[in-house]
Amino acid sequence: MPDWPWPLKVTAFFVCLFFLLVIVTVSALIILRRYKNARDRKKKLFQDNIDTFLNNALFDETFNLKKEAKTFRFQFLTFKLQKKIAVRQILVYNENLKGESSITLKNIFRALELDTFILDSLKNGRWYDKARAIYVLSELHVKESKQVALYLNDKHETVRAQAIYFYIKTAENKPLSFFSKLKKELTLWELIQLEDCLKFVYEGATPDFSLWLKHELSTVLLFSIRMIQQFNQFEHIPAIVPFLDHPNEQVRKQAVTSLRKLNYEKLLDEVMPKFSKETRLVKKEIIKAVETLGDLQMLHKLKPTLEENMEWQTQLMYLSAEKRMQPNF
Amino acid sequence: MKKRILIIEDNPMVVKSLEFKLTKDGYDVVVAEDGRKALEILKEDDAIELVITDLMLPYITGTELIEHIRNNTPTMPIIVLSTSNQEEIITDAFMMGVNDFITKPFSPNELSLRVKRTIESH
Repeated sequence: MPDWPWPLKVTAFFVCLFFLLVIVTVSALIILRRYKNARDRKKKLFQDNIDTFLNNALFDETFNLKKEAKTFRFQFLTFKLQKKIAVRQILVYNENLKGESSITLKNIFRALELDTFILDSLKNGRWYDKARAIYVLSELHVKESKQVALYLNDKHETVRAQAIYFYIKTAENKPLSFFSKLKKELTLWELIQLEDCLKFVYEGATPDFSLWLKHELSTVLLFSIRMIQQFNQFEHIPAIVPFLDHPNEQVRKQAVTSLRKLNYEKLLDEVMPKFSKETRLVKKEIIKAVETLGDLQMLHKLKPTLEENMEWQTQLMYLSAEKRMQPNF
Repeated sequence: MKKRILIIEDNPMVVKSLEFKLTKDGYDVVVAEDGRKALEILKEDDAIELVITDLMLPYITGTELIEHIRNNTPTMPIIVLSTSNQEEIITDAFMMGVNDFITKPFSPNELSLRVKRTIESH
């Protein structure tokens, strides 16, 4: 080799290096694959163990939960992965079973001390651990509202969304009590999620949305005004009327929309005199209100203001409304 | 002699729970993870006295399976266990001749009683 010309030496060096790299890569792949297979086998074995434990606890009347849970905890719930799998399996069972079994599952969760594990990951985990932990607490109705309240104003939106979900899912009544703890405006997505949860997740009596009409956050006001209309709480119409003069145009717009949908008779008397001073957004809403609650003559009263301002979008809306209100339309 | 029940379900958790509960109740339980396997079992095993099936199944849907069972063994009692709670789907299932319809999430104790009632009434 010392007598070889230098290009040959360089080539030989790179050939050796390449083969070495190939051997290292292939070996690493084999080791990783074997490690993954072993881990999967362990997971499967553990999953079978937890399934057997759950089924025994659920359906065997002679099963001593306290005693067996203690044994199971010491034998099988020593690593974080095992606890994670146990929580996941309990959630799967909880999703598919109801009645007595559902209550038993919650007792099993506590007996296995998985609530401690979940609360620990809520305190010390990364944002996704926290979001997951709050989801588990919500699904299993573990009422740790003091702990979860801290995350209502979290910087990560997924954590905030889960905290809102928790309050609605676990509430027996007053699902919006968390509003008093909110410090940040709700995002559009959170408002949609909140409405969806109230309609499809919350199972208690319809809350009184007027309780939140004095909240300092305008998104909470928007939501409450909208919900009063969505849930047909006609008795709260007088509480919405003052919002027609609110400094925030979005709130004024929502007040007009809700009162229009609630067929508030005096709405036009309230909003028509203010039409000329209103913003474009609210003007459009007033035109809609006149179309729904008024007549053509009332609509024509708005025309001079529209002619003064060159707001083509509002004018277009006015013309469409006028066309639809013609007797022969 | 133990009465034999065929469970057709692709969710392993539901299968395990049903198998455990019904075995505890004194039934002999046979499981098929999909419609195709269920048809094979039904062809070979005459001792089956009740079928519990999901509607969403791989290869052959629950509806096709019910039709097949009704054409070949019209008296075989069938209980549907499904996540669907739409009125239309439930009505269609009863029109096809199923004996009971249970929606998921389900109460195992309630299911156990319904199984008992269905078997006894046949």
